[in-house]
Amino acid sequence: MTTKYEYHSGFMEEALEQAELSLNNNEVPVGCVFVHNGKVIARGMNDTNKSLCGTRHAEFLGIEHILKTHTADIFEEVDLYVTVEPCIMCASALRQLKIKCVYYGCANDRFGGCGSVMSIHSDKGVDPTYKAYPGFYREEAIMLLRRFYCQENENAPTEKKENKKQRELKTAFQPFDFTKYVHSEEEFVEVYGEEYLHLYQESLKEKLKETGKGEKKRKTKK
Amino acid sequence: MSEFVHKLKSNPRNNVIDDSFWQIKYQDDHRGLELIPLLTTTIPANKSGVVVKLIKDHVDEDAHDLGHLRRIAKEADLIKEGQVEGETADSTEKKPASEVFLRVIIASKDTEVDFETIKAGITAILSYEPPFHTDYASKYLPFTKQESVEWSRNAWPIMWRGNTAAIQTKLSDSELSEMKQKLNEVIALSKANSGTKELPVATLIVDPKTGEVLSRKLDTRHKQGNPLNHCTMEAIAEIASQELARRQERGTSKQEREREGKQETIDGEEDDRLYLCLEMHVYTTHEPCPMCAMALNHSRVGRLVYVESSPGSGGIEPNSGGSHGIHWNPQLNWKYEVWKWVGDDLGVEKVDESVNA
Repeated sequence: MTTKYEYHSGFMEEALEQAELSLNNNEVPVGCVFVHNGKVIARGMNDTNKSLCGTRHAEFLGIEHILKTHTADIFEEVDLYVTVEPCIMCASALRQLKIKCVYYGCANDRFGGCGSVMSIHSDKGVDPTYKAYPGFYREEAIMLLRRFYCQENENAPTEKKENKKQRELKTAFQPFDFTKYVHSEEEFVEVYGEEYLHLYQESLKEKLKETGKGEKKRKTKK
Repeated sequence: MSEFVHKLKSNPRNNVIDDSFWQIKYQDDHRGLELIPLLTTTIPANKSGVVVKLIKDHVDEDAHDLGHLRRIAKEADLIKEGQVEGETADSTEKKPASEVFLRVIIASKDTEVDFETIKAGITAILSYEPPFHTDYASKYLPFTKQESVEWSRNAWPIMWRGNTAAIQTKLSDSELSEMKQKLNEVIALSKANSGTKELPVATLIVDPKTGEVLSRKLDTRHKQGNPLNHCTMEAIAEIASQELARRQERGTSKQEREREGKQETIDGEEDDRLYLCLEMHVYTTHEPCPMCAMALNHSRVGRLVYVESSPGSGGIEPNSGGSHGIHWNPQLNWKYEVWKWVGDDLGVEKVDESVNA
């Protein structure tokens, strides 16, 4: 029997294939799939460089594909799997479409709109909120981004090229803080399955250690 | 005029130019005096170098940004009303007379460091236990010089080197009339949707150097069957497709020249390539939603000017939607100016609050 985590990871593998494709096309490697009734109904990969348009993110390509054959109300029954946390723009677009749920690989510390920089998916607004869950093939999603930033951009000026050559491909990962994105153990089990509860508990332990350190220091202060 | 706008206009800090354009910045730019407690100590001036070094070695990172505060203050400057006296001010004071005494910040009290070790270290340097105090300082850099003087009088002294967030953007008379003219143009465009099921919303993207309108878009999200096809998204896409076509055209003519054996290239051919909507000016009838506000950020625009606020869904104003202020968020790597029309009624049609304009 497939676990919940494996079920979501299966779709994330397909999103990673899209990200790999965009890397091969010299685009920031982000890929996604849209899933309706357990079937992939659209795929998307980043297209900002080729189109010269800063808004051609993977999500938008997938959304436009769906709207060729469906009306927009289908999104209420559609889940999105995307390798990187949707940016603020995409997070707002998905909320306006009333997407059912979003699953993503790694957090986006620069532009993330589903919990990292802003929480467009859940804060005050005119459209219904949605849930967004990170951590499916997170390390693979990060490695794709690292490979992109190490690879040479042929359009870049010479001095920039040399800088990039010196960049090393790092393979270590910071532990991921699930508690920032998922607010209770019950919710975690609901989405990721009982078998993976240890991941959440490790995040909790890590967080407690941090606050514990603070407590101890505050005591010594007095 | 709504009460909201009137209230803003009555606050001189809120940057209204010519009674008609209000510059909207990040809401945190406008904060009053908020105090944080500091642990400080009094030491002889000739020992300040060693003591400051000891403090630096022990305090990696303060819980607060103290960049706007003087690290060291003259003891005489600190006797003022409202000052909270030191916890151990009455402890053994054996400071020799005729010396100049300075008061030094150890760290803000919220900082997680071992204060006892630092106190012991300073005592060892001085060979006596100095008095330690709790002083209060402004948590934030003040907005104006006047504020800086006033706050320094009531709390720990501030080092005033200006506040870039407070610099008022100047608009010349010709810029003001250009902005008003372009707003009238975008409003006129939006009227084409009056009485249809489409929204009376429109967008212009303008080259600020020439004033030329590069893209003119009326909202057609219903006709297109895509609720995300807001006119601002469409205008951004049009700028990109124009540039793509221009480059393809040039690529073709370059190949032709090469076939004809001509090697020379046209001067500046590479230099004048457009990068996204870099520094362009955008005019809209309504405050954009977070999607469009962030699309403008991704596109590196220089300025947004609009008329009507979107209190339910807007991504710009402090009191709109989720108070995002997407154009001026310190965590994002690009900011753009935003000016909202607060002058006479220009006749923009209102849209329902539940709509993402």
